Amino acid sequence: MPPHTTRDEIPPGTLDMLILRTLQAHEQLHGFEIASSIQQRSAHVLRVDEGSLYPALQRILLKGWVSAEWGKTSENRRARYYRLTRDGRKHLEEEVARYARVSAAIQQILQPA
Amino acid sequence: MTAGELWRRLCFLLRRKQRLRELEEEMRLHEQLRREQIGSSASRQFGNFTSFKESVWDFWSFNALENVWRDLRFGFRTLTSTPGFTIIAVLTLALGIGATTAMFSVIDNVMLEPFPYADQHRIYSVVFHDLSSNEAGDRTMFPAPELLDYQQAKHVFTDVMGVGISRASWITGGAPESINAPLVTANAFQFLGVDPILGRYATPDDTKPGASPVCVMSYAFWKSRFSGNSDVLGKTLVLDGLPRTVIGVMPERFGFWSADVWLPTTINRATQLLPPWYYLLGRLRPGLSTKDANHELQMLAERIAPSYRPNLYTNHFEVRLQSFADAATQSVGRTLYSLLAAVGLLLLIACANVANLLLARAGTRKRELAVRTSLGAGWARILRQLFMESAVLAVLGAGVGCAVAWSGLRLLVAILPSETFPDEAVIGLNLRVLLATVAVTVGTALFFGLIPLLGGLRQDINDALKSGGRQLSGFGRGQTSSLLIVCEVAVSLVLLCAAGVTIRSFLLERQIQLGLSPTHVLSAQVFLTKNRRSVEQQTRFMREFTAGLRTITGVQDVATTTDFLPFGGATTELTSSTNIHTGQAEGQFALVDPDIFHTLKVPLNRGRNFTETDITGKHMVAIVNQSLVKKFFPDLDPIGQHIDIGTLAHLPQPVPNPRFEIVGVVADFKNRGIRHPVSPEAYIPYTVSGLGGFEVMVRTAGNPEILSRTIEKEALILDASTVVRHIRTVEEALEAEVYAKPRFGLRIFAVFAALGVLLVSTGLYSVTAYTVSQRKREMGIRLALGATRRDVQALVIGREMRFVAIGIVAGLVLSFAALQALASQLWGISTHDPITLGSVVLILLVVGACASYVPSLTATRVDPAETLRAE
Repeated sequence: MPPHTTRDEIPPGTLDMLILRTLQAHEQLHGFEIASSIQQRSAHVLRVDEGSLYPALQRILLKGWVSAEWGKTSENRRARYYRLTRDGRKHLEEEVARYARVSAAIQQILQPA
Repeated sequence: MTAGELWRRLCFLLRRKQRLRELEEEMRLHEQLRREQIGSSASRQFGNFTSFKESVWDFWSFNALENVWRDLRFGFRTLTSTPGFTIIAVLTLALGIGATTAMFSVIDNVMLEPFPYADQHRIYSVVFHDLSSNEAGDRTMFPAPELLDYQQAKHVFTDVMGVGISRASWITGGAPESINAPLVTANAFQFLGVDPILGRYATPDDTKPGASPVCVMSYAFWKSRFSGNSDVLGKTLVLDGLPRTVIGVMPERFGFWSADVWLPTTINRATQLLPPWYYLLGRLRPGLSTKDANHELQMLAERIAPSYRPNLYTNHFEVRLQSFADAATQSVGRTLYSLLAAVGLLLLIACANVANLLLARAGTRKRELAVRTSLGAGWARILRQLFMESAVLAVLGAGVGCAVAWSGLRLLVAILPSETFPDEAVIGLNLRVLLATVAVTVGTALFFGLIPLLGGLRQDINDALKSGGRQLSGFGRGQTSSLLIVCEVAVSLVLLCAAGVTIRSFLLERQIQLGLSPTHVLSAQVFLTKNRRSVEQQTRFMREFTAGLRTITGVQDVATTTDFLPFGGATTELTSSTNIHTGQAEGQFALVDPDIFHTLKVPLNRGRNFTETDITGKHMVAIVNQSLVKKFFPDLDPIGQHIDIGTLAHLPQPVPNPRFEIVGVVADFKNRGIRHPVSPEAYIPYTVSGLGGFEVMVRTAGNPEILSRTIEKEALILDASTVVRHIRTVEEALEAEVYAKPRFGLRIFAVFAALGVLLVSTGLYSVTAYTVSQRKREMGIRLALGATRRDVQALVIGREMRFVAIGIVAGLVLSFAALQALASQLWGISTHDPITLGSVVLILLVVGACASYVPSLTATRVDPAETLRAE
């Protein structure tokens, strides 16, 4: 069974965090690169739906966690590149810490007794 | 939402088309890249761009604002669906807001910014008050050395300037002309801080020794005499024989000292106490209180006093500051502030009225609201929607109100007595006033929007749904609207009382006997140029002039005085020295000719009138009024006694040893203003001292105004350089100086009171009509059970009149307190004058009865059979 047939939707509320984390690893990415990067790094388990990616990007743009600038791709196509801001870095740290705390707690509960 | 986020939102909204285009481009690229990656046979479609964009739009935009916008539109629609209600409400509000705005404009312009001068509220003049005489007037003019002394007070004033009253004769095209040319110290223009519109203003360099003499021109003079030509700069005006170069023209609003031109001058101690004397203006040092400044000035005055004794400084005196702006506006200030209070009350009534209308509407809309609530609308949502309706009303009201204010303001300015506020005040709507209107509007919306919400909606949805909005009894409408009616009646009673006592006071003031006859008397000021300055020359001119006037048909009497009578006498200290006792008192004197008493029809009670030889021989004789006799010679024959007129010794052309023998006694006339008791006054031959200007008073058989031109012509025939000014009848003068201000207050009060009554009656009418419509079923049942139509009508009227009566009682209590502020403006009447109160109560009762009678007729037309069928 090819791995991509069992893709899962990203749990609500975590997409922002994943986008920010992806941008932290790269200097700047455009939308498609962000989606591909998330899919690859999750070993194609997580599927990033463009219907939620772009609204999410707009939302965090509005929050000031990322900045956007139009540039050219290697194939000389116009694309909007996103970049993590200082606020975004700070927010990401907080989110990751919170997520770690929550998921550890969930893990504890789910552990077989 | 942080500030940055708000900012980004706004940026997005402002360029939302571009933003959405960018978003689309971004997503298209995404789609293309994916196709290329998985091949064009991609099984999954990309999705709907539009729905993406919508979901993005949702959080980019302001949801709350959108809802507000929706509520506004809904409110607007509801209002247009009941145009009658809306028009009445908007007009009522417009009236209240407009009147308030207009009144506030006048106050703002006249009281807060009467002059164009920089930092005008820190400009003070210095007033010298002599404490050794019990009621002396203040001295505000200072000779040059004294002005220089006060200029040293750097710890009190940052800067001090002086201005001296002076006229100059201007030689133009042959004949000299007398113009108003005050002398100002060289720093005056820097002090006042207004830039010229043409050229430059004078600086201390212009008055340095050797500098060529200059002058600065006023806008009005420049426009009228030089047709506003800019080539006036550099021209030379010959003023009192001295050529002066015009260096600048001041802006229109700058009318300092009502000058035609200002003559910068340098002052020095060499002139000693000789004229001209200067009015002193100083700018108070920032941070210094007037109390401390007064103290410092007093210390300074004590220090310099010895060098001015005994002429200027007595042993007991007080020196204090007087605010320049306040002095100019205080006479009209009280009237304006009480009118502002009145207009505030009017706005209150207007708001109460609209609140009542909304309340009635909220009643009829109970069912609608109940349905909406049961469908899930929260209370907050409904409150917000109802509030938005009020806001729409308030905004419409404010819009129309601005138009009302604009036209009301023109009306106000037209009837505002011009002599009670500075010419330099410009009355108009400005940003500050408009902001105040906005504040008033918001306040109004809150006020009348919230009352119905608090009162009208406290009810169970179930009840409303079940009864279908109908009620058995109208009493449920309840306390809120009744309370509003009570308040309206109370407030309008205060307004009516204020108008009533003002009117009564004015009528009483008109009845005060002047003691002379002002009808058919024309007066004119005659100025002689400086080549006719000796007393002999002036006398000769006046004799020829008056003789010429007497030959004109219709002229009955002609008299000469130095001051406009009745109120023009100069204040002085009067001293009598009989062999029994010495008396001293504050009084006044006037320089007159023998004809003045019969021209003004003032009877001579004792002794004789002046004779020709008294005039030509400059005899030291006086005719005094009854008050003077009562003060100094209560039980003596005044004829033959002597009286000293102190001020005459200190005039620019002093009269040494000014002791006069009393030869006659005339009846009293109101010589200090109509409300003041008669002051002791002495009349002496006008030849005793020359004062520069004369007042000629002419009694005619018919309308005196047709003689205005003739008088001026006669004067110019005798001497073309004469200036004749201020030609007016004595009645006109009295009107302007005495009656104009109370009449202004009275008119506005009367208008406000009338509007108040109008609003109250419409309010009462609408509330009664609404109550009746709500109680139709009850009325029908009552009629069916045997009540007569008269009973039903009495029930309706009785209920409303009960509230009117409560309002009247409340208003009476209120007016006792509120009208105290008016007390000082009234004459001969107390603020709770029983006749006024009685008529006001009567008016309100009648208005109340009429306003509830008409709707009560509807109640009697209810068909009982129909009501019962509907049950």
